[in-house]
Amino acid sequence: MSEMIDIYLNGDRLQVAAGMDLQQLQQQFADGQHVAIALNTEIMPRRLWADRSLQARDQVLMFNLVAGG
Amino acid sequence: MPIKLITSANHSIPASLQSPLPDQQFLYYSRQLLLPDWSEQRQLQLLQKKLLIIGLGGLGCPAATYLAGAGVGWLLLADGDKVELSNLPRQTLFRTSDIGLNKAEAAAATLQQLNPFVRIDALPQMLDEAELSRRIAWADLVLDCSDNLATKLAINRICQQQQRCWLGASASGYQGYSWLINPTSGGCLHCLGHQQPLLTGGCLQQGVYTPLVGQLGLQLASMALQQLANGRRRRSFVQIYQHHHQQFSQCQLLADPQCECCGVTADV
Repeated sequence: MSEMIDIYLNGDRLQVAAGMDLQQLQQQFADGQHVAIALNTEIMPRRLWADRSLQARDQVLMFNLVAGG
Repeated sequence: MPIKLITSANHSIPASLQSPLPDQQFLYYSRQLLLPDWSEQRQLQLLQKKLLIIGLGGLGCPAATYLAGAGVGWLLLADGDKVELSNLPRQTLFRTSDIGLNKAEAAAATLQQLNPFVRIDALPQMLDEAELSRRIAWADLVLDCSDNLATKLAINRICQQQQRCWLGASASGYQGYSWLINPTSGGCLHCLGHQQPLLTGGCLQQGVYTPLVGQLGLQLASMALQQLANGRRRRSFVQIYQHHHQQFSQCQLLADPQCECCGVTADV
């Protein structure tokens, strides 16, 4: 069984597999949705998602991109 | 008193807006002048600023209301849409009697009555790229209050080309966020992820939480006043609304080094 770590996703605490990156997180929680991701108050360009592995206690904001007004 | 809409020709800041602040205006802005970091000089400086607001919908109406009330000297309002019944719950500059009128013109008329001491222009049309570029170059600050991706991307592209700091917001359903983008610090709407067709749709498909556009519009007004007052170029950031927690979170917008729009200009 793989090691699990605690992170915070949109303010809610949850457990994910250690070593999970932002792209995998998006696929697990918002697959097929067009979202942006902020990791510890920095919005990460999509191109960097696969390079950013989650660490214990990371704060992640995942939000839908919209264009209305 | 009939409201005269000033056309975009023969623009200049009226001599009456030079110092000192006339008595009636001193009274009009008195509550703001009482603020510890405000002054007559600061008010006079604000009265000489030019602001372009693109879109007079749910975001643009509250933003324009408070910026006109605060005394931004010259507001240029651009919108080619007409007022519809379904707009009225959120677009607070309009009344049922405005239905069918152009939004920029109707908003300008209301705002001119709210503050007769500032100049309000209406551009009752959708701006093509060349016109948008010309208007952005004219303004001290640009507010993107539009409701569509194509306009937002055009503003992003032009402000990047002109190295102009700009503000904007987007909302749909219970989702929404505002931003300040400073081209010299890197990060742009493309870097945020707005480079592709959005999958979530707009307000027509998803509806929109009525108070959210108001909150975002007021955020834009506050950010604009701060930006116009001190001119300090902040790093690009986004304020994200979290409905579940009823709060906004501010996050720095990182530049995508390979961004096709801003990738070669970031210098911070």
